[in-house]
Formats: sequence, C-alpha cells, structure tokens
Amino acid sequence: MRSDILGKYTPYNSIVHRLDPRFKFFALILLMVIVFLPFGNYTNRFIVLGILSLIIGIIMIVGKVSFKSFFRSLSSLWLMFIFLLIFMFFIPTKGEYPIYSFNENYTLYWDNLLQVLHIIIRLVLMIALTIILTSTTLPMDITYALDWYLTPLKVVKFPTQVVSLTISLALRFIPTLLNEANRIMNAQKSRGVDYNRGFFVAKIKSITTLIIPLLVSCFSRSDELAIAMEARGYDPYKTRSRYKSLHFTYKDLLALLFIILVAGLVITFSILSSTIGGFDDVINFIWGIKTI
Amino acid sequence: MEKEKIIEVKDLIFGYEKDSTILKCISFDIFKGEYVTLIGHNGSGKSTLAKLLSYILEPTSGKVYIEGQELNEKSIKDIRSKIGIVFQNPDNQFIGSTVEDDIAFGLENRNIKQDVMKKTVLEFAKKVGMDKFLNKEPEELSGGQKQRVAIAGILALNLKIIIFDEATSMLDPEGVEEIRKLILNMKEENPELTVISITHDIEEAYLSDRVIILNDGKVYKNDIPENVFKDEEEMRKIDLDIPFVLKIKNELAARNIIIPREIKTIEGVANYLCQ
Repeated sequence: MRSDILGKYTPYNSIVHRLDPRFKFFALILLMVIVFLPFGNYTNRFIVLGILSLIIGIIMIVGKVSFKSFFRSLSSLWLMFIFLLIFMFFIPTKGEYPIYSFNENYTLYWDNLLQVLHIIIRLVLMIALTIILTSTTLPMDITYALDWYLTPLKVVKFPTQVVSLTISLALRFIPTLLNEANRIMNAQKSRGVDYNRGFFVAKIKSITTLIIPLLVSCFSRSDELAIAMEARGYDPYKTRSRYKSLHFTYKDLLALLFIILVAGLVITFSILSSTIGGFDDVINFIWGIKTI
Repeated sequence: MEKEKIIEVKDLIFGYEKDSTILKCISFDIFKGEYVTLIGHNGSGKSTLAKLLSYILEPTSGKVYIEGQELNEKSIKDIRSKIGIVFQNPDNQFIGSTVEDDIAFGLENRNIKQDVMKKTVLEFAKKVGMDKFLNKEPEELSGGQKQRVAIAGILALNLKIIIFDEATSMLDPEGVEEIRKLILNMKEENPELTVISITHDIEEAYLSDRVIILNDGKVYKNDIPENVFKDEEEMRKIDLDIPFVLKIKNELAARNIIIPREIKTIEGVANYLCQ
C-alpha cells in the first residue's frame, strides 16, 4: 500500500533532490502561478503550456520522478474530463465549430473541448509540480523550508517552531496511520464488512467501521506521543536548537535564476499577449517587426 | 558500604476509583547503578506503577522520591531531565521523521549546538548499532530497531536513570533478545547508570541485579533473581513461570550436574557442559 502513495519521497541523490528546499518551495509556488496566467487565445495558451510541460517533464526526469506511477495516478482525471465536457454541454456557450448539437442552447463546440483540455493540462501540471517537490524533498526539509518562510512572523510572537513541528509530526504519522487503516480494514473484512459492494448508504456505513476505530487509535497515539515528547524534555516555549540546517549553494542560485528567467519570460508573454494579441504578433513584436 | 538511594517509593497507593485500589501500599528503594526488573502477571499493577514513576498518573497517596526530590507537579520538569523512559509502543515514541532526527530530538530540546549534536547522534547510533540506518524512516525499521533508536535518543541525553516501561512487550522474539542484550551492554559500559525495567519477560528479569515481583497490588518479593525464582511451585501460584535457563539448571542439578551461578544464558550453559 505504501509504495503506491503518490508523491512519496524517493531517496535518490539527483540534483533536484539536493537543491535547497526553500528554493524548491519558492519555485513550486512561482511555477504554479505562471501555469494559471492568461495567455490570450488557445494557440498561445497551448504553446506556453507545451513549453512549461517540457520544462516540468525535464525536471521530472532529472529528479527521477516515476512517470509510470504519475500517469497511473492521473487516470481518474478522465472522469473529470468527461464531467467537464458534459458540464460545458449544458452551459450556453458560443463557438464556431460544433461537435454535437442538440439545439441552439445545448451545443458542444470544439472550443469547449479545447477549454476543458486547457483546464486539465493546467491541473496535471500543478499536480506534477507538487509531486516533484514531495518526492524529491524529505518531509522534514519541507517543514524546515516552511519554518524559514514563517520566520518574519516571529516578530509578532507567532510560534513558528510549534507550527513546523506540528506539520512534521503530521507528515511523519501519515504512513503509520495508513498502515493502521489497512490493518483495521483487514480486521473488519475478516468480520464480514464489505468495503467494495453496496450503494452509497451501504458504503458510508461500512466506512464508519473504519473511521471510528481509526480515530480512537489516533487519539490514543497522540496521547502517547505527547507523553513521549514531554519525557524527552520538549517544551514548546523554550528555544530549541536545530539538528539540520539548510544551505543555499551556488547551484541553488543558478536554479533560482533559471526559474526566475522562465517565470519572467512567461509573465512578459502573458502581459504582451493580453495587450497585443496572437502568438505570431507577439513574436513579431519581440523581433521588432511589428510595433503596437 | 552504604549504597546511594536514587529512587525511593514510599507507601504508594493508587486507585482509578475511590473504593478500588490497584496498588496497595507499595514501598521499595532502588540504588544507584542497579538494574532492577519489576515483574508481575497481567493486572498486578506493574504498568500502573510505571505510569506513577514517570508521573503520567498521580498517586492517591504515598510518595516517590528521585534523588531525594519528591515527585510532584512542580518538580516534574526538573525530574524529567534526570529520567529517560522507553515506552511500550515503538511507533508512538518515534518523533523524528528519520532515525537521526529522532535521536536528535531530545538534544534539540536541550538547545545543544549543531556540530556537537551531529557527533553525539552518530556516537549513540553506533552504540545501539543503528549507525547504518541514520537516514531511514520509521516505516522501514523493525520494532526492535525503533526501540533501539528510542534508547539511543535517551542515552544521548546522558541521564542517570532509564525506565523501560514494557519496552519489549510489542516486539517479536528477536527484538526482545536485541533489547535484552542492549540493556546489558549499556550497564557494562556505564555501571553508574540505574536501569528499571518493568517487564513481563522473566528471562530478562533473570539477567537483572534484583527482581521486584508485584502481585495483587503489593510487593510480593524483592530479592536477587536466584532467590526469587527458587521455588517453581510458588511462582506458579502467582501466575508466573521461572526462567527457561533456570529450569534447565534445575533439571541438570537433579542429575547432579551443578552449573555455576554466574552462568545465566543458554549459550553459557551449553559452553559449560561442552568443556
């Protein structure tokens, strides 16, 4: 069960793994934002998204993120794709080339298809970005990065260390609780609970046989954990030292410059395309052939 | 020579409800550098006693003194810096996300400098034989290995007293054996260290310096293991067995083969017989 979790940390030693988590965190947010920028017409959008996909794909290869498990886990997006198409069918839209027309109001255009594809691609890219971060960075390091970004809040006496410790404990217990859930499910199955069959209500009922024991064990676990932490001298209000520290090296600087360059280009393109228009026009403008 | 008392339990009474008491007036002393095991069958009150010693529960009456300091609400923080506790469930005391993070947790709480911490973590990981697993996550470790990490985390704090609160009860036989050996090694390396082990493992009890048997909320016996386990019939009466090694020794003694007292393991007996 454990190996199937999407985005689980994979202990390779690639360049992406070795980069500073603070940089990776920043890059993730930046790239996510630029994926969602407007780029004018569909040609523009798909060209930019294509380039971004290529970059993200290369990062995935370098970071040794498994494409196979990535695409397998995306298979449920098909459902969303179909759902969105049906949704589009019922929303009155205008387009030039109809695919299927019921009447004037209920028509599915090629434009709709592109629109849905556009949404899906952006979602896939966003998921890919998140997976790159989580599968190349130890949860603890992500927490350190988060803690670093929260540092300014210390001025207003915000307990940043408490927050980051809470998050790291939550991350630490995910696999433990998944194993526990698995165990409870098996125990309930052996007592005749069927998790797969039945309609909605029956399914909800069978799920409660999992959720309640899981919650109970969660509480007793957290209680024991709190005692164990206290027994090892944890005091949330005392200053704690750090076992690990983050190092921002020249590699991180190069990567940061690269990401800022990409983001800068995409943002410029986004602004230009909203003021100028088509992709050709933007390219011509950049080469100085055409002026506004 | 008068030995130095490190833990003193005086007339300890405890009950979850008013009219039913689980511990009925328990008193005993533990001396510096001793390795004491507390045993008893299920329901004898040994896990309750463990919780009282670590102040997870408050006694109904009676007192616990640690190095002369009374255990109460005020002194608990101070006392916790003297006592390390290894708990029962290996998962629920693994705080860090990797082995090294977990060993470092207690050190971080003490605000120890990073470079010192790195050395200490490595040193104690080596001591418990986990130095090759520093980057491993808890999910990749066995129960015995997780307990060893917990022990390393406590040893690194350089404490005077370590309490094992049924630390082996959730482990497989190999894990139990690992921890048993580790405790003995620990004692050998640092004779000053006081170890209290609350356990149901009579084999472990046999290896300790002194055994305290709890039965029905009272101290039933408090003596060296040879004396405690002398009478098999008596032990049966309180639902306890005698150690396997001792059984073999007794059987051999019935055939006029006397094994010396110092030999406490099966391997030891086998080696002695082959001489």
